[in-house]
Amino acid sequence: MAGTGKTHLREAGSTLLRVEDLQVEFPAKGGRRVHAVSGISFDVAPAETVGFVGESGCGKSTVARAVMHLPAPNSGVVNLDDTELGSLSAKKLRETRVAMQLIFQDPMASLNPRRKVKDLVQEGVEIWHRGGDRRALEERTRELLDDVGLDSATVWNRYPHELSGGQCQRVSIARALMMRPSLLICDEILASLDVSVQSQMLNLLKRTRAEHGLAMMFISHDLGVVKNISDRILVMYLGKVAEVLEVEALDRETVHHPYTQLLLASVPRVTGERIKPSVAGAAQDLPSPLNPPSGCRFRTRCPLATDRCAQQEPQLEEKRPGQFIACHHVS
Amino acid sequence: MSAPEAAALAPTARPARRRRRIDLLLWFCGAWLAVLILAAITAPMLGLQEAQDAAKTLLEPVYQPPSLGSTHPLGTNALGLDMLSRIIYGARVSLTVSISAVLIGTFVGGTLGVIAGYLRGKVDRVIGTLTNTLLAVPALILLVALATVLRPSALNMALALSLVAIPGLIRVTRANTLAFAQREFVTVARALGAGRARVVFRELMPNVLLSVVPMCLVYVSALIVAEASLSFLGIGLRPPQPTWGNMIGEGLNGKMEDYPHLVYVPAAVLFLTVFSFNLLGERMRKRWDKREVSL
Repeated sequence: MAGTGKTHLREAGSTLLRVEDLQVEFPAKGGRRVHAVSGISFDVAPAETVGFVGESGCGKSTVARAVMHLPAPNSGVVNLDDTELGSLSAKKLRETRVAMQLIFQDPMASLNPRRKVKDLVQEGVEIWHRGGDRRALEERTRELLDDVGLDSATVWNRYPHELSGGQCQRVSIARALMMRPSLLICDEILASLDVSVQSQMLNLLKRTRAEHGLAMMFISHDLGVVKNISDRILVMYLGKVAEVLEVEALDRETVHHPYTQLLLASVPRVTGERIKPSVAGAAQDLPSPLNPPSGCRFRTRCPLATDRCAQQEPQLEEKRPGQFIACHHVS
Repeated sequence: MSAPEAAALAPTARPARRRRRIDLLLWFCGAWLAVLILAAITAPMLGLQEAQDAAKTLLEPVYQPPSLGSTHPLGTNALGLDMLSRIIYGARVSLTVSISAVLIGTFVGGTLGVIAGYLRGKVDRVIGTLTNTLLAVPALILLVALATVLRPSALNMALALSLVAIPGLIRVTRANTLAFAQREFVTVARALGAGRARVVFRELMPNVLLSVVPMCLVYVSALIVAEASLSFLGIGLRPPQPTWGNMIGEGLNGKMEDYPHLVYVPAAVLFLTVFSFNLLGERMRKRWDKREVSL
């Protein structure tokens, strides 16, 4: 479970976002460090959606924030449109990263409770004084609100606490789209919504993605949802990449990383039978990122683990067309 | 949010009656403050008796005890000045000084607290040291020291008193900021391109300041007392300008034994006002706390 490999990266010119060896650590008590993200590389092509899956605590959200430099990663290179974000001045960085917009899981906490919907959506424009004349700005705001499925006339002067979770999430999406981003980073945005609203949101995202030609990083713990919306999927485990695969690979008979298999086995299915956990390691918790296992980080839960896994970190290799797997034992 | 539901579900009338009695007290306090503030604002238009100029009260009775029917419902002092009038003009001074002190304190303390809580690091340590230094000096001693240096004008009093409110407000706004800065809307604002100043003043301040409003009311009452203490000690605003403190001070030197109303009238007004501000602040804090929990 290394993911330190870069074989899965595409040519530099063809990508919108290119992230190499991203590392994020947080100081913890007693001088120890939380290794949240340890050397992840990936790229996102224009108008492509890359899904990130993994358990809670595997560093998905940290990746999202590190890409935005909120806060900046400890090391690693983030290239957006051939601009290296780490080399920019603070002011230039603020300007450049507007092309990427974030949407978070908690719809209420994402909106300033003291602002009205119209001000929330226009906030970015206000910051950059990109408004032009007020009439055009208001028109565009109303258009975007209607586009994301809100009735602009009703919500215009509302405060976030007067809206439902789904409505708040739509406001967040409209606010992000207002900046005409080229990359939308969605961090578990469906997790706090109920299932019917989830599917509405998925459809909304697909539609806006098509209309605005957006690339997306779609982060979720739910493999089913990620499969539904993504072109490529990155399976993360404890701050590393386990497997990178084209989404079609999930539908064909193929080999997978043992952790991907575990995730696939844990997707709930409606059947008449009682289902027993079939894969070993399913019930175990994530090891502590304070002191991650040596070699392959998944070895403590892996049914295939051997001595080699403890000593040598596997690299991402293309084991099947469109499938990069970091495992010594999958071939 | 859940209050009307709870009332509708309550099977007996007892909780409802209890609630109404509590509200009565709140309404009384609110009404008292409203009347007091209104009277203080409109004082020159009320046709009150002379409050300051002893030359005009040579013919008035001195030390007249309160009698509600007379021209001096709350009595007169040693110079024949009308107590009611002095109370209202005193309210002008006491309220203006303490409220503006709290406003100054909230602005300065709030800004410093939010900056410390948001930026953390060195800035936080510097502001923290400043706060602790101010807190280490007993408030009254600080005020006495300042009052002996500064000329006793209303503005100087407000500035000196704001120093009492600032450290507490820095602490509370800093703590509240730590909580708010974790919320995603701050990260989103930064993603939209907001710089530090904008995050502090537009995102954090409106939220944080609203949460310290109850505390500010409590501070107003504390500063009314502090101002009165200084005036009583003779180092605040000086007679003939009336303040509640120097009115109480008129009862010194044994005069209180003969003419107790000299002390009781301003003391009662002071008590009611301080009590009302405190109660109002306390009730607001409770209500907002509830909302925080239901969030």
